[in-house]
Amino acid sequence: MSEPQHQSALSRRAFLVGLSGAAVMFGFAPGEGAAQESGPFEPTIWYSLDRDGMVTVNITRAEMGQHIGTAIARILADELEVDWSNVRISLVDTDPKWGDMHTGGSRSVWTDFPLYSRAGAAGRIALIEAGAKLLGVSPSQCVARQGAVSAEGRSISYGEIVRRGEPMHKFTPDELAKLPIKHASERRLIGKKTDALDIPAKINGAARYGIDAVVEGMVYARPKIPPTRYGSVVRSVDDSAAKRVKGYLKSLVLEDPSNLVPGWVVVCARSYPAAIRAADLV
Amino acid sequence: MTSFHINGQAMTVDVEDDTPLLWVIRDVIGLTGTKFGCGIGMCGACTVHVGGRPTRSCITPLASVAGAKVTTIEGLDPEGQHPVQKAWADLQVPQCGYCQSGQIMQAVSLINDFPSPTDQDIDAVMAGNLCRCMTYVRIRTAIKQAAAQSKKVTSNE
Repeated sequence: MSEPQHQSALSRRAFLVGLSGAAVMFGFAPGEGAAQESGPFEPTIWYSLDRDGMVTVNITRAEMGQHIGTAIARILADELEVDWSNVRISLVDTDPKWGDMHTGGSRSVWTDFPLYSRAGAAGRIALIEAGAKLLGVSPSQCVARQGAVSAEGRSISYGEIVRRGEPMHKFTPDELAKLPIKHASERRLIGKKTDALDIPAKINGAARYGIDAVVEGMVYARPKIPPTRYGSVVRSVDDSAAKRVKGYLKSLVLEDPSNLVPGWVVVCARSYPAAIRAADLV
Repeated sequence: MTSFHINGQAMTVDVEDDTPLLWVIRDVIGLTGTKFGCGIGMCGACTVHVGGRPTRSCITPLASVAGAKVTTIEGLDPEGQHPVQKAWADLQVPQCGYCQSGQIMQAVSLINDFPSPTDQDIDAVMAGNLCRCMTYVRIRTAIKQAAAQSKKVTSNE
């Protein structure tokens, strides 16, 4: 793997590159002048392919140790016919465009399978068409494997196709939904053993978790949780001792019409350890 | 003001003496690979090395590390290729990964103390590092692999 595992930093950069690339592509008439400026190829929102042939797969499911990003990336990469060492994953933000991001019930792989496999197939078809044009052959003569389009003993890499700025076939959602996907016997990645893409960052301290998020002006809160799950009510809050903790701000009684967290108090402070200490004194 | 070394660098921080080392490492210095789990030294997620010994940073007051050498997961090896980290990658040990920085720091000390660890040694030394994903079986195998690898390296030197 080359340089894959700084997920958050990379994903943000890749996302920004993707945005600026898209803007640049719209700035040029198709087919002229785009060669110098062509951005990454993004046939759908689910991934991008950059000028070096690197594929970044956007993962909307929560990574909780099930290596879901790797499973989904394999599904896409198999149809895209890309070299697995050129695939990385990006755990996305919470933009509504990603749709339902629930992760649970062992649903992610089978419900996402059609989406990501067709997204991969769409990219492969578009790259074969563009590659065929650049090779001067018909698409039906071409085969895509390992991140390159080949015909009659010649080949052109996906990265090169992107760099040349050849306009790519765009698929409507209806067309996407009708794309055929591989027969199981044709699969080259799915079902074969591989290393999980999220693991390197989890053994060098680089992986980012909720606790590692930082927001400008952020304060920290520690909950006081009632002894029973339902029916608890906060009668009063005594934070007189907590006021001696440096950095303590205040205690909030949660108003919860959903009744999911009845009777909770959150203790707020300027630092995590101050929130812990203050909560112990409330 | 408290001065100590972290991952080979001299550091002086202006934080109250009784602040747990964990929060100095994470929120003052900004090395977030070390994790907060229980806050009472029971789970091992916050394990770092102080003077080469595995230490629960969540219950270690800053004042107690004045002048000491502290190592975190980020400083274990410049390339992240310590024999323990390599074994962890080889055997695909982590699942969610939250406890693994602590597991790895504890395992590095274990191998220094027990170059040929038995299952009993591993159980005894690693018992204070909890993993809710239950990666214990792979952790045990990875420790043995890393120990064997470390011995090979040592005997070649």
